[in-house]
Amino acid sequence: MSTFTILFAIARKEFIDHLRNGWIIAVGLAFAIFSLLITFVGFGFTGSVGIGQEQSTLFSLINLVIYLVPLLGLLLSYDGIAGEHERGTLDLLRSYPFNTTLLLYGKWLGLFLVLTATLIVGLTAPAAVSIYSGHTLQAWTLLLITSVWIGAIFISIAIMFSVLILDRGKLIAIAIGIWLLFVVLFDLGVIGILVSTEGDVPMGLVNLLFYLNPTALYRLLSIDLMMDDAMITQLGLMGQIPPTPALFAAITAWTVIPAAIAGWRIGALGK
Amino acid sequence: MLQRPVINSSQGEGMILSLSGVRKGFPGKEVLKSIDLQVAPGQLVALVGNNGQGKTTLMKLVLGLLTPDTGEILINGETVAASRTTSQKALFGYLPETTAFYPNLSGQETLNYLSSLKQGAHSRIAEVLAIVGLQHAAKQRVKTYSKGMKQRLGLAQALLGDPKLLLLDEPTNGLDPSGIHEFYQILERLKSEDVAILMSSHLLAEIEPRSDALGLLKDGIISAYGTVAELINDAELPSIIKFQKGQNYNQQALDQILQQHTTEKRYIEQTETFVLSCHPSHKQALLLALLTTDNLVAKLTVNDPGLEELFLQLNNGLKIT
Repeated sequence: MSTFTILFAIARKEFIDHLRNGWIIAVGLAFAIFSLLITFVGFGFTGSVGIGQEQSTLFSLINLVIYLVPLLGLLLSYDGIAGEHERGTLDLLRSYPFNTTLLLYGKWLGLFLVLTATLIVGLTAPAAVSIYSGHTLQAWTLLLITSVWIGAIFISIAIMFSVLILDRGKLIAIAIGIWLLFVVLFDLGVIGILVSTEGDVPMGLVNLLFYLNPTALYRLLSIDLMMDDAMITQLGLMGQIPPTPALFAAITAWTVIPAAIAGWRIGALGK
Repeated sequence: MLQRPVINSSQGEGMILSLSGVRKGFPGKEVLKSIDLQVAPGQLVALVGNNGQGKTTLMKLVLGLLTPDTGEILINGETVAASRTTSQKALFGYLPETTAFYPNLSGQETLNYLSSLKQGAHSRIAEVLAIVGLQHAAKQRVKTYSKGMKQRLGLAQALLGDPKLLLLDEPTNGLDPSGIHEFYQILERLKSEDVAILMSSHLLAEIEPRSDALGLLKDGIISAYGTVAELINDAELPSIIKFQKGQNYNQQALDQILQQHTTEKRYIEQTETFVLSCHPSHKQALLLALLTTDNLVAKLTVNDPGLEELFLQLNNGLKIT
């Protein structure tokens, strides 16, 4: 029995389980409604009604993704391992003849596929509207990829805490806390620093702060990949965005390190 | 305390499982102080004991889900490390005390999934479903299962992959009487195929006639070990003899018999009924005397001690009289 057979069996089971409990459909449709509203109405930059400029629509959707996708990733995954623990299946599966870290990575893969399917459901309608209006598929593809990636980061973070804590009651509070920290409080903190110093903050420190928050990295990467120079200038970010490879390296680290910690921990359970 | 030897062969030879001096503690509590135990192929060993005495901990140590602080565990005669190898795990079939499984999968899908993780055990799915009597519900989602059906599903997954050692933690919880009967028939069949079984249970009446050996876990050790008959014999538990006065009842004759044949005689007169507590070594002679004295007694019944009485005496120090 190959490692991949076991990995895919676990991922498949996870996907079917979430498909049947209606998660993908319900959340995907909710996401589609929000993103369609943004696509049609637009807000912020153009202030126009109707299908606004692609750039401003995409920027609005990036902000929607920042608010919703981390939360989706966290809520989808916080009980990934803790749920198995509470059902009594974690010990059972640990007694099975395969390396227990495969359980974790199989689950990660399954949750990643669930999130990907949800975002495909959620982004297909606005992408279709946009493409029908003459815009390109490329930006929407990039939006989907980066959105899935930010979701993957939060799946990794949630899975890590799920293995470390193994208590669903505590984990739901932690999941909400992580979302508040990275999505709401972090930005407020940065704004607070900038206001209190009247903007006199070394760029190196600002960049360092960006690297400490995966949603900030996602925002910068998405802008870097999807926005044109005019839009980046309008956002006041021309020359301020860290190099693309550095952003990729940072979000890769945010994806891999929590998952690796979870993998180590699940292998050490009971020791 | 009964100290029948638990280990009979050196280095666990011929044993599927052998534990020697196994100790396991958790912060603030030493659950198992020193466990010596062996299970041979085709043997059903039952672990009994009050809650919190370490039955589940012991099973988790065998499975490698916990690591012993000290002591040695041998599987198939080989000392095992802290983690079990894949080939060692393949010998196990495990049924945890509570397993809820996956509500959105059917029984069949659950076994398909679990067999994928159990080294290609797909070929046995239909067979184990038939063994546990779940064929008719195989397509139903697990969330529609009763507690007993979930327990059967748990047993089915434990049987996947041709295990050589079954570890069953309170396996008949939630089963109805016919389910329990069928469950033990399954175990008998597995025993005949040389599958070793280590199970824990609170249901003493259930395991008394079915276990080959019984270990009482108390205060971190196996404080008594043997067959039920051996343990009862060693514990010298009294038999209870009840009878009514016969037509020729004579107090003096009865006193004389009791004096001759019992050293711990005690009887309670309940109008026409007497209840005697009799040491096992005196039982036969006492009965002979009572029954051969012309019409001294009538309607005589003998209740020999069972596992429940033994358990109460050994575990709680309750004297059965």
